[in-house]
Amino acid sequence: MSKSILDLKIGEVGFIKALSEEELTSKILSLGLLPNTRVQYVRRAPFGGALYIKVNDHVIGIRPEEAIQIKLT
Amino acid sequence: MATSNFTKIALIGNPNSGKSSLFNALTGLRQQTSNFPGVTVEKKEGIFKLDDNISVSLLDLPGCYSLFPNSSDEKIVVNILTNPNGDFYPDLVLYVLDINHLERHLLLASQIYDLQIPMVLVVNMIDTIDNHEENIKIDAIKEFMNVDIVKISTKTGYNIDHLKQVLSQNILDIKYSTSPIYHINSKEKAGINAMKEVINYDNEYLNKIILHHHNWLSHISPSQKINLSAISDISGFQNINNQINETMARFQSINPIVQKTLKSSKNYSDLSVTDRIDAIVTHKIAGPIIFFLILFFVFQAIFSWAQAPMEWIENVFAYMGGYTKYVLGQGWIANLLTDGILAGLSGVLVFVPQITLLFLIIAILEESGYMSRAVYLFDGIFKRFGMNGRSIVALVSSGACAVPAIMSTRTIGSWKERIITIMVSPLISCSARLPVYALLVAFVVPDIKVWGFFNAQGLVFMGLYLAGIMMAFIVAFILDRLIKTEYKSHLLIELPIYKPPIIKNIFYSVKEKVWAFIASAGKVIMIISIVLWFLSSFGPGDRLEKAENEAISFAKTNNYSEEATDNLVASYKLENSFAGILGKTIEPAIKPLGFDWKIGIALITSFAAREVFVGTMATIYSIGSADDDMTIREKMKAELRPGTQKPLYDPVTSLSLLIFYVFAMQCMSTLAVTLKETNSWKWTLIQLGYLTALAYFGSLIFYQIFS
Repeated sequence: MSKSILDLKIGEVGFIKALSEEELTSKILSLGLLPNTRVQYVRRAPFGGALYIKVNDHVIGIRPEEAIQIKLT
Repeated sequence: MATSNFTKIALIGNPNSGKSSLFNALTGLRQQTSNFPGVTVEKKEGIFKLDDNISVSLLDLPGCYSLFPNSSDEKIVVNILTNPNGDFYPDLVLYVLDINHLERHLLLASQIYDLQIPMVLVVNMIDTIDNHEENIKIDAIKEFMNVDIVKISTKTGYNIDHLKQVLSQNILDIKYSTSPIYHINSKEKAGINAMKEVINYDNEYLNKIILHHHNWLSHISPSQKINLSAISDISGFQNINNQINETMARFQSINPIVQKTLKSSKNYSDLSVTDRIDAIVTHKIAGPIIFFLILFFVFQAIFSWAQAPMEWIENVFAYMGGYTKYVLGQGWIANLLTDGILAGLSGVLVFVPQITLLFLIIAILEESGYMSRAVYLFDGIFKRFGMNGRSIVALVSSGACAVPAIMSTRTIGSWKERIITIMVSPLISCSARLPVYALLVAFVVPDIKVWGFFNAQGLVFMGLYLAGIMMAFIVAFILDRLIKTEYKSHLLIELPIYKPPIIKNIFYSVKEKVWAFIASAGKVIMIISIVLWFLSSFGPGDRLEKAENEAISFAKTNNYSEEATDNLVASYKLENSFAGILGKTIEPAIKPLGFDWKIGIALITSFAAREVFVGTMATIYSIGSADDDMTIREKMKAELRPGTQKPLYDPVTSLSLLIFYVFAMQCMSTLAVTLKETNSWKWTLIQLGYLTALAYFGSLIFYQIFS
């Protein structure tokens, strides 16, 4: 298993390598989560909720189920 | 408004690009909201003048990220843009992007460009860039896409007039794009060639998008779908990989353009303020606490601030009713006008202050960017109940009225999460339940303080609200287990930077939602209140006349005053009317709940709208008007359970009735909007059925245990 956004520690930065091919991938791309993009895992919502991630110049809330699709270098 | 003669401009852009602000700035009050035919996606349209000669119609399409959509809102955009023969196909696209998110926002622009729809590109939020003349080189974008580009700011109004000039030039001299940005690859070409016999537009990219999405496009006929499916299966056209490849290729050509356009590669959008606010507002522990404090403030504000205007509205209608009766006398026309139509109208309008206030606050929270934080915070909990973080907007709105709340679920992409949210929304106590709660709660506990400072009645109130909320989660949990779907749900939400809300946008958003309530809820409440007026004013044969004579002679022998006689007549008449007969018919069914036939009448009359309960009680207990809560309460207090010396409205019966009102689906407007939004009789009947069952058995079990 390669490393995904879900494997980052709070505050840690990673760079996107690839996205696994899923129904939502084009949506993820259109939100600016492209290969080589810098992502920072900032915090987590309570009760196993969404991840607060910073992508380049903006902020995205994403479920862990989707975050795991985004593989990092 | 006939729009067919005007040049049709479609306003398109990503969510949060300032699209609505531009729409409001251009059209102002000349806008109207309706639905696209056949789908429940909001259609906002407005007409405005570009100059003295040219008027155009502007269609505001839902915010959209790309031509590969995920929600029904986004799909409508693709449906319109892929149907050149359709009614809504634009002559010109006005594309809005946020300069701070240039790269992402150019994606959809480049796709529309390749569809060869004439376009004017608007670069918005220019006010956030220092010295934009120097720092933003729009010529670079012009090399990429040969369209007219206008830098504007919807916040300051900068260049809006210039935009109008550019639009009118483009209408007089329509320009079509010539060279595509994305180059169709050989595999795609094979698919497009194969589909030629089914559909063949001149534009290759348009053919590709149609082939890719054909199974849900509304303008593709069933037989075309079968043919296209066969072709796309062979050429592997519909797979996700195709979407990814195109999107990646587009971003590869967009990226250098962005580098050239923005002078330095510095991070343009200033996240520092947003960062600091979010450190607290989206904090694991502080976040939810802040949310509930806001919620507490919201409802506190609604209940106290809306009180006065609600009383004015009631007084105005009471006065109008009295005046109508004075002018028209006592005939049935006067009664229909006052007790049917005016009463119905008053029953609708009396909720407008509360609903306006709640939607005002929700609009401010949405405009400022807070609402998406609430979505982020609570998705984890809602997910476990088969819902989505976005459900929180609907559930909070349900505190005012379930009708606009159910409409707001359109942003939820997953069908299952949306259906569950719609199903449970009516369980959140809405403003129409308040008058009923307020009347009955006095029979449950006296107006005393508990532990020194809690008001006992306030605690019961809170308990009723909590019962509704808890039941909503229980039902959602069960539905989550029952509904099977192959589609995966998701949450991917942009958390925009915080910005001061634009008053114009708030005004239109509130206006729209309040109007949705008046138009859809209002219509139903009006019709039903006329039907109920008929049921309670007429009876079979000469039964009513007999009852009236009986009441008059009874009043005479007991020396009643004129007013008391009138009230007694009204009460005797109601008992013998169709409504009274219905009440008596259902009495055996509701007796185990502790209710008598009089409550039965009120249950029937409040089927259309819950608050009618109070008015019916006033008529049953022969009180001239429902204005005086105290008198109704005293009369109800004196009422004895038939055959006993015990009061009918003891705490147990009253609580049983309250439980009934917490759960029961006594709102025709909500059912109507559920039918419209789900487009399914099955789900509408499930909603009616399960809520009625909850109400009935909830009251039954409670009463049987505690009486």
